[in-house]
Amino acid sequence: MRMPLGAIVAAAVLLALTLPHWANGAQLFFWETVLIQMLYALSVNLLIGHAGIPSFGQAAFFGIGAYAVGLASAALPPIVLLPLAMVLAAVAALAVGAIALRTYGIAFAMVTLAVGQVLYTATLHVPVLGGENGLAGIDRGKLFGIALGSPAAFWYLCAACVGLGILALRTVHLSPFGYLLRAMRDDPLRTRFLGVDIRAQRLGAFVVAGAFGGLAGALFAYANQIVTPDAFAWVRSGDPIIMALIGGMSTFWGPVVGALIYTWVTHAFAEVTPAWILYVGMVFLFFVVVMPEGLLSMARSLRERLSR
Amino acid sequence: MHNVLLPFVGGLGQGVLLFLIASGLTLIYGVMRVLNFSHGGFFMLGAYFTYTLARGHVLPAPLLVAVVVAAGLLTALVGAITERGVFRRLYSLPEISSLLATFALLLVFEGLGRLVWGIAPLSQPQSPAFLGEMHLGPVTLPSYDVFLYVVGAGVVVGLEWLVEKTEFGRMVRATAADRQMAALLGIDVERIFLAMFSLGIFLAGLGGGLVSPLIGLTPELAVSFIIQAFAIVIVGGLGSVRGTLLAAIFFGLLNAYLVALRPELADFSLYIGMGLFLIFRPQGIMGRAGSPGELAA
Repeated sequence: MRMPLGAIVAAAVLLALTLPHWANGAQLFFWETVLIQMLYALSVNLLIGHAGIPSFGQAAFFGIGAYAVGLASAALPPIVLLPLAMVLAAVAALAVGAIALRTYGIAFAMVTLAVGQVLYTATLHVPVLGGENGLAGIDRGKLFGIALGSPAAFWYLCAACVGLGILALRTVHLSPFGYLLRAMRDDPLRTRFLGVDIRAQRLGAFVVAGAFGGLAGALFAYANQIVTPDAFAWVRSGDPIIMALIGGMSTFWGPVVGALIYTWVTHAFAEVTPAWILYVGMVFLFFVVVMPEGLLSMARSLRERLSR
Repeated sequence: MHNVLLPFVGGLGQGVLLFLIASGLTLIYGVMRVLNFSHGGFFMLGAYFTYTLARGHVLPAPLLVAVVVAAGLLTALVGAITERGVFRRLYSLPEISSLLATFALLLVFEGLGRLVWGIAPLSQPQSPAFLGEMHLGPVTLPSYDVFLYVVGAGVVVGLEWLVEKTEFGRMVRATAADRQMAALLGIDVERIFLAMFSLGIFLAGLGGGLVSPLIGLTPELAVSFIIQAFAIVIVGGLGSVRGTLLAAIFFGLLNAYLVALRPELADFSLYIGMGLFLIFRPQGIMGRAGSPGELAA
């Protein structure tokens, strides 16, 4: 597992560095979206796949990150605003988690779904947030004196942020905290007998996931240069779950693979038919019912079977 | 006086509609332990079937009622097919996996809605008889609201009778309590599942049909009502029909009074209600879903 991972990461970095030289603006934008979705799906999978916390409201934190950029892009440069968006999303996650984690299982899923919907509804009603039209004309500003208005410059910023984000989440995944989360998922009762404060650990996971969801949202706002209530829409909470599921929720890299496939497939279908959601739903259903382990786990067990 | 009563009349009618959707959801959860995200999709189908059967024409009240019931039955048929094709594979999965699977189904239904009926809103006109008003002493009631009360009361009484008083209901309660034991006792659990699923979906289709003359029909109906219905069953206690009725009426009235008194908060009524329950009565939100035999309690 180690060798191919190193090679794939090296290839991905090389690809990211050279992409602006052979891709046009629209293609760069598409790949920015893919990268952002990868980071976002990873943040959701930290909760659902690894900590066993069924959050259906990650859009709340994605939207907070996006609206932070929408509101403050004229005043603050991205180097300040991106970390600020993460902090805001993390604080919101702390507040939401402190209340919502009083419940568990399906009730928790519904409460988080409702939180996302509250914020979605709020964007329509609070005048500062621009209503249905959202906030347009987001200024990408400058970084180290380089204007980020050019597609290539922004691509490098986006790729670097997502790369660092993935690295950070990978570090969390391999840390004692990461192992503890998976232990709680597999057997909460025994983990509690070890003296672990389960609710505090879950809250920690919720905050970390919220922060990276916020970063994904902030990058999304910069990439689109507009933010609309769609950032909070409940499908935005559902999409990353589908991505994680397709790739494999029990693995770390599953959501990355799933985000790539899902973004590409929806993009392709949406160009052909307004009913694309039908086909997405069918693919998703197939994975839940027939292949709940996802592609990466399938590949792994296939390889193990062959090497035996 | 009128300012206080008027929201009550409309809110109660809205509560009945919410109850019809949410009661099917809670019945299905109570017996099969699957929280059905796609319930909203069936609700959407009920509304669209009504539109298609009526062809968007103005119908006299009895005919419209017949069309709504037919739409409910058609929806139940789709539900039965879905149960055989998809849901029975979900009963053995963990709750969260089945939740994801029904979420996928919801997307499928919304996509079907777009494919068959398009994304532009369609409207089913109301029957003239339902547009009138009824006078009860000093109180004036819109006749459609009165009709909804009657339907709601009928469904509550019918469900209570079916589950509490009949042989079938005893088998349903036994299955809900312990499906393995029930199967060992010779109860055809698969048939019970199919029947209860179809009944729950019938109620969703009926709710969709009854809503169809009130609002513009779009595929988004599938999503917009399911979140309300989820809030209701969770506040009411998953699996409890009476709790669902109380919660549906609570949310219907809360919304109607907020519309009348604090319109800027009206769109948040659902979340305000849910938040209040979560903070002050989290046990109400948890329900007693784990305990057996509370299906109709």
